[in-house]
Amino acid sequence: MHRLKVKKVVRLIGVLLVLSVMQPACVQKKPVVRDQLTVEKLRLRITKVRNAVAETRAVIAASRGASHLPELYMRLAELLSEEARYHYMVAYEREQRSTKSLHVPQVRFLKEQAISTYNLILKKYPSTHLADRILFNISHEQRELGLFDKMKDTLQRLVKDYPNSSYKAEALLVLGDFYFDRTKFAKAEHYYVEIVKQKRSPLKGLAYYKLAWVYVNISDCQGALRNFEKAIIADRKAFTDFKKKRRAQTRKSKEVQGEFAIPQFDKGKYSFAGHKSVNVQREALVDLTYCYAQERKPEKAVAYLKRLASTRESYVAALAKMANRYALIEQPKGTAQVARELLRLAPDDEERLDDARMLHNAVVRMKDYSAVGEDVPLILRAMRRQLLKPKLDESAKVLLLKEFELLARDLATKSHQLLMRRGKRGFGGTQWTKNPVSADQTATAYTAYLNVLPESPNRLEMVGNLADVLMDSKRYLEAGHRYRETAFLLSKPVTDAEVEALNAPPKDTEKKKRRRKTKPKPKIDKKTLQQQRTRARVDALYNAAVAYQHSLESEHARGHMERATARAGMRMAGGQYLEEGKPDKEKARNIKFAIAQSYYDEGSYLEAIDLLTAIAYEYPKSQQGDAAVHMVLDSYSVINDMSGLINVGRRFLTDGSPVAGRIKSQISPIVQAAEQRRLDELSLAASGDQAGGMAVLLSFADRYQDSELGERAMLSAFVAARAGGDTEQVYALGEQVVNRFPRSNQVSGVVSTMGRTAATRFEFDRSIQYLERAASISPDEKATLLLTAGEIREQLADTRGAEKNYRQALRAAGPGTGRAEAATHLADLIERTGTPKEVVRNLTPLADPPDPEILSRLGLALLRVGKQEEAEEYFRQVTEGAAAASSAAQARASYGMAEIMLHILETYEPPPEIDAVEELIGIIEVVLQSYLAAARQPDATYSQAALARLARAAEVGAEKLETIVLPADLTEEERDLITVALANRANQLRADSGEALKECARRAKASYLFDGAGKACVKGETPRQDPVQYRPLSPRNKATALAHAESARERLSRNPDDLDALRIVGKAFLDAGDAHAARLVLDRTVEAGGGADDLNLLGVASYKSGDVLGALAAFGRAKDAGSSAAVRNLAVVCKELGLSGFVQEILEGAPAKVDGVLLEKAKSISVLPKRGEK
Amino acid sequence: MTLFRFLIFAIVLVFGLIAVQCTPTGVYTGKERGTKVPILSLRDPRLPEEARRWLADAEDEVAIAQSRVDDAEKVLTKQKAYGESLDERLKDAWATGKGRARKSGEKAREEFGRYAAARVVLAQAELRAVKKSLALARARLTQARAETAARYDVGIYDIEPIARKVEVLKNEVAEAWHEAEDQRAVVEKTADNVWKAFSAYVNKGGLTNALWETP
Repeated sequence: MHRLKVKKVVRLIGVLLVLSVMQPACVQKKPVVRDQLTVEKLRLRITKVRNAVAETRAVIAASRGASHLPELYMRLAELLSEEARYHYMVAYEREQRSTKSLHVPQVRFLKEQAISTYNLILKKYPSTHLADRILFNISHEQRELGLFDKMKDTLQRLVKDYPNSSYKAEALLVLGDFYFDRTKFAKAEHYYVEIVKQKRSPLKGLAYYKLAWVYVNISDCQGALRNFEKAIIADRKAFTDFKKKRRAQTRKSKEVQGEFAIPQFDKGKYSFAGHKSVNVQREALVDLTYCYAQERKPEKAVAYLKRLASTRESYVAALAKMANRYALIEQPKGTAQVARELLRLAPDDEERLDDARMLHNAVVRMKDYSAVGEDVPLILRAMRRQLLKPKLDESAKVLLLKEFELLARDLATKSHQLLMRRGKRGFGGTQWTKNPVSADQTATAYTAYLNVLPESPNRLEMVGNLADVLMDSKRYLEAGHRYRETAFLLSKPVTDAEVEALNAPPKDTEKKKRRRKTKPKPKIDKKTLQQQRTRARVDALYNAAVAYQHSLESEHARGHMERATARAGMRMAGGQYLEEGKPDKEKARNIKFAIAQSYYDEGSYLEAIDLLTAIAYEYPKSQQGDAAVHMVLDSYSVINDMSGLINVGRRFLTDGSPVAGRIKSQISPIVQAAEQRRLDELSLAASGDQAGGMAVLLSFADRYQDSELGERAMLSAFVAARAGGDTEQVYALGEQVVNRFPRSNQVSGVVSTMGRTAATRFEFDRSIQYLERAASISPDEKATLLLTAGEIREQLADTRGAEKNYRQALRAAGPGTGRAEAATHLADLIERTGTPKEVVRNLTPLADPPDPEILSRLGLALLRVGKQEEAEEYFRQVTEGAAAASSAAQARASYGMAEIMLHILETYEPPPEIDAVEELIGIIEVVLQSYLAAARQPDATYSQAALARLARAAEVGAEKLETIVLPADLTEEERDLITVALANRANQLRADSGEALKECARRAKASYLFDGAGKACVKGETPRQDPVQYRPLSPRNKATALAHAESARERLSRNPDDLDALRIVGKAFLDAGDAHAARLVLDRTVEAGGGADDLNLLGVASYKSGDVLGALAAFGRAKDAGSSAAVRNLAVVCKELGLSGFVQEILEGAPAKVDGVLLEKAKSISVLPKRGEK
Repeated sequence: MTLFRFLIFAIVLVFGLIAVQCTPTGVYTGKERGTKVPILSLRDPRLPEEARRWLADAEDEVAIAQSRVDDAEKVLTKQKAYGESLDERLKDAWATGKGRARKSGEKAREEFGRYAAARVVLAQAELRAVKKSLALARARLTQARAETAARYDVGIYDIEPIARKVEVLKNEVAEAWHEAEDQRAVVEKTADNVWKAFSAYVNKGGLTNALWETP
């Protein structure tokens, strides 16, 4: 492989060698072809023309009598003229084009031949259509032969004889020129005016132009200007018309004409006369400058020329001439404007340098630096373009650079000086100028200078000046950059050359030298210069920082890039200034604050916080220090670091803090708000589903454990634990709050919440303990808390404890609702558990102020101990204030009143008088009505009792009517009538009694309320005594621990309506033998939506706790809801009450299969078949 | 085929059939059971809107947690850079004074160093905590998917280990945040020391300019 490649390479080299050997043999030297000499070309043309002349002559000879003979002669004459022209040109070339005045005999001979030929035509064919052309050609030849008088005559003949000839204008023009050349301006004007009078003439513009020159020569510049303008306009119009025509012609012609071909119809018109080469528009524009400079305002010159110029070239040419003109007449305003335009538009030739110089001179002379921002760049551009030209040698370049650097610097610095003077005197000062210099212009001038001359030895000063000007023009960002550049330039070590340059004697004029002699400049050494520069650098850095700060303060609307740059610049400059300079305290403070603020504004709060805090500590009680304090807090607030804000705020608020008292009072609420916010956030996180929230909150509480914030945190944690159902945390945190902050006004709330939490979990003893503890702490809540505790105790058969709680609550409660509630609780408890005497003894002190609940109970108790009159008084008070009394109190009062009436009836012994009969009947009616009123009350117990007692009252009434002794003085007939009526009424009363009993029994069965009244009614007995009696609960068998109920309790902590959990806890209590607690849990279960089984269980628990009525009601509802176990349980209880008939009713048709918890006695009960079933 | 072989075959067949019969659609058995829960699409037509919203919320939680991790990483990077910058600026700068100011300067610099280091440790602790939170959010998403699948009869999973994992992660998250909060206390304590030392340095005439320099 490798060998193969080598072979190939060797072969290739061989081929190349052969070719290289052959190459010289193939190459031939190319002949050098030189351009033909002009003379030779002309000679060739002469030969050709001569041939043409000979041929034309031959044709003429052969065309005698032909109609086209005039044309042939015309052609011959023209050929002769052409040959003459070639001869002249040959001679001209031979003379090296040195002169146009030549003696060439052939020319004269040929031209004379041509003239004679033209004359021959005119003579032979006087009416030929070529006559005007021939005359014009003759005049042309005559002018070239110097026969001007003849020429004049010929042309005048042409004008006169052929007024419509297209050569008339040309003729007039030549005539005008003839007189113009001889300074006969009036005649010349006459001929030119003749041309411009013509409607349409291509020479109109030229005529105006000539006419303008006539006026120039007669010193009528206004007229000249007018005609120059007309010349331009007319020529422009003629050119436009010409173009239109040519376009139209081109469209008509099917042939595509050559680019330079002249259309046929104008061929004659444009192919001669020699004026085609005059660009009237350009020449007129250029030439009018003379008069314009004299007559019109210089400030409008540029606009004027621009308006009239049709091409850039003519515009520039006119400007150049105008500039020269203004320079000549020393008009600086015009010079400056025109020179600027020239520098803008004119080509880059050396003349631009002159224009630049001219501009500089004009501006300096005018002291008008209002456009210096444009002038300096223009001047420098002219210089730079020349510098780029290769033909310029190095020494010239150096000179040019030096000269123009000076010019640009001069303009920039002079404008700056003027600016400073204006700044000192103010705009309304004595220095009034029409065009005041602006800082922006000066800044632009300096910028241009620095951009074009980056290596200038004066760069340092120029950059410094620029920075100052930029500050003046409020371009702070750029000013900052330039100050930093100045600082950078000043950081460079001083060179010997610089020292020498500084110490060199100034190249001044004699006048200046004389002036300087009085105060010689002291020499400076290198070290001093270096020190000066170091000081200047520090100043520059400070200025830069200030400029950036201004930029950030004043230009908020700018883009992000600018702001970021300003901030970065500020930090760089400020940092360097602090590092290098030895700033005084105020400057250092300002700079430090500005740097810190830049971080703050930027959103770099990490840095901002540290730097601002440092300022607050280093410069306390200063404006910046105070602001820094607020900004630190705000920074933390913005980044939502409340913890940091609290920490720093507390640090600022401590006694040793450098922060002023005024500021402390300002930030104190901020810190407090932050504390609350932080706490809220943590509490929110802790109470939500986010893991870790509680841990953070507790940690926070630990950190601030000795403060109010710590207390609030603990409370929040407690609330969060309560909301989250974390009971262990609730108890633990609650205890911590109580122990750590015993004086907190939230302690009672915490303890009561713990009590309620325990109640939710059915931890009754714990709940009572916490509630009583909370009551001992909080006087305001004491009554309510004790009532709650008492209620729980009462339900758990702790009558004494409940009574104690109620009595304490009564003492603690103030007047009003609280007291009434406590009194009601106490009265109810005593009524249920005590004897009537005990009730009277305990409730009598509570009767003042009168409370319907107390009065109604007290009345009934008094009634039961036989004090009817006192009882009646209490009942009366209740019924009179019925609106304020509860339905239960009203029911009691109505029932009590009825009982009093019944007692009256029972004890009434009517005398044997007819009036007594009526009175008895009346009393019976009143008693019955009283019981009916009581039966209508919504209280089930007293309503049912009223019905039962109504039956009894009717019976008593019947007995009384039947046994009444009638007066003895009645007739037999009267006696019989009364006896029958009384018997009927007694019968009616007995029937009413039966009805009342039936209704009472129906109600009792429906509501399963088998109390004293209900039981009697169901048995069909009328109660002879007041049937309302209360059975106390049996003593409680307290459960110490519940098996498998803890998780259910946890669930209840989170959701108190969790049915499953409620059932589990209820059963657990029941299984543990604590029927009282189970009764409460199961009651809650039923309330939360429990079903038949739950009701049955409630019945069981109620039965076991001694609440027989409750058990009956629960079993009854459970039975109605379909519980088979409840049927048997209900039967057992009813049987115990002696309601065997009702038991049979219940068991009839009950299902044989039992599903649910049974009482022990119920297990042995067998069901009965339905009636009709076997 | 011997009788023994036939019996073996029959037994295997019967067990196989039972297994197929008893395995509802979506049951994941063996290694994957209870651990790997496929993604439930939010557009799954078998799921009601409520379930989809539930899943979407869980997915959002993951996205938010991931975003917090990103933020915490940035904060850590920034804290590290700031610490280095502080070290560079203050190195030797405050120890150039004379006498008491020199000593105070050195102490203040040391305190600044500790402060910066403590902040880095805090940022690291917070990063750990948010990473744990991310893991928890992912576990919760898995749990939500598994529970939703089970609730709407899309699949059956062993929920218990998933729930246990969530609980474990919850505790870990709580612990991580607790650590971060403890570190925050350290940072704040360090900050107190820093400014105390700074005040002392300033009061003794020390120059603090280096703090404002740009590194």
